Amino acid sequence: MEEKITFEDFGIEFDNSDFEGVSKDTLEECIAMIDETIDKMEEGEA
Amino acid sequence: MNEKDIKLKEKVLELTTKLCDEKTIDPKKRAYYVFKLTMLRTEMKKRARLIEIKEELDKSTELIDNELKEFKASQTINKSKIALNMEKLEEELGKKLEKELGENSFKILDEKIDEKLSELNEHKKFDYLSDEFIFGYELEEAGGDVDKLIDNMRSQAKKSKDKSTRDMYTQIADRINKAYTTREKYEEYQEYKKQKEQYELQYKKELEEIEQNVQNEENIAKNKKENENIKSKALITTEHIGKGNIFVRFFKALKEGFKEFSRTRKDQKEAIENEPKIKEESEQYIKLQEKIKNEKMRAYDNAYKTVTDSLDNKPEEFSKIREIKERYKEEINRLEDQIKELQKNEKDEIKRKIEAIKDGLDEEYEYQKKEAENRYIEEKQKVEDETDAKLRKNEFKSRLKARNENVENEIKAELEALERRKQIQVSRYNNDDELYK
Repeated sequence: MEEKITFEDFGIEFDNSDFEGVSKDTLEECIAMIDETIDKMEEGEA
Repeated sequence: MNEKDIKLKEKVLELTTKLCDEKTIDPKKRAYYVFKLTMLRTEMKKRARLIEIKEELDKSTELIDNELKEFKASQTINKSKIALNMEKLEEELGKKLEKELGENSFKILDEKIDEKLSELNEHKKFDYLSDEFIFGYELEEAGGDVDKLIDNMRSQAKKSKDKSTRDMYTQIADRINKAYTTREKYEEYQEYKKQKEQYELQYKKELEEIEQNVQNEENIAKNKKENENIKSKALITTEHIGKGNIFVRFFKALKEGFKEFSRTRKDQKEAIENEPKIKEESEQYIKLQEKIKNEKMRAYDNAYKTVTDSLDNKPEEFSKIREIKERYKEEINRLEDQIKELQKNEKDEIKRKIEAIKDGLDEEYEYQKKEAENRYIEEKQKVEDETDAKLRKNEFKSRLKARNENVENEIKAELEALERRKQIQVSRYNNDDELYK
């Protein structure tokens, strides 16, 4: 990951250090949470 | 689960919670955050896939390592088998050669070579002995006992299995014996010679004594004549003077002395008469001794010459031994070359097989690696495509929405324009109607 992924309004950002040494299971759990959020946001948009 | 896992989960949970709770979020911002979330999701997917690929690679590496271990173990077994096979091969080869060579098998050849070498050493010893044959150190080794030396040679002859060696020892023993007999005779001659010299010396001495005695006798005879003259004169005087005791005793003694002298003289005379005979016998004896000496010397020379000639002829024997030795060496070299060639071929074959297996494994490893990389690239592409599709979907949605809005606005504007035109027409119609009325 070359650049940070920032969520300015919430003061949250992600960089390489957040992912280093993290297990595959954790990442999959996080992906599931993100998918759910995206769906919700898209539903809200619709 | 470690600290990092917990931290990331908490962070994501916080973000998603905030995003879900934010009801009044601007649609543009929402699309932006969806995009950002998608990016985050893509990164996470990429990381997860990387971990997966790494795990696969680790598994493949472990698998390959295990296979390599197995391969190495099998190679060790193969090497042992090959070593065993080589031993068997050598053994079979040895047996085959022994069978083919028959009497000239290695063992027999070795024995022959040892035998010939020992013979060679014996020959060398006798080469040395040829200079001082019966006076040589071999005799000294036998404690100066020639009989012992000859016995040694004969026992060597009995021990020898090879006929030529046996004959050689026997011949040497015979020649030593002959030479020694000659030497004994020569020594006897020397003894005779010495005795003869002593005899001659004694003879000479005796002769001188005899001559001296003869001389003395002559002197005595001469004195006797004078004494007789004196005696006759004395008798005349005695007869004339009478019987005188002193003179009687004197003449008696003189008479006895004369008798004794006569006996000695007789022996001496006989000795003188026999002198030529003694001389003749002596000469004959000398001649005989000379003859014996010459005979003995000739016999000795012949024996010596025979031994020397015999030793001179030995190089033929040596050349035979050398020839056998050379043949043996050539045979050994040829066999060694064959063994080397066989070993080299076997080794080359194994090397080729190992190389082929190694190449196969390398190719397999490369193929697996390539496959894994391709899968990773495909997956990555897929994820990226998915992301792109999502983005495109959102963009399309935005564009559709915008277009809908535009269409809506346009329709609205058109309806408004129509409404306005309608109103105008209605008023225009009312005005016309009123005008008509």
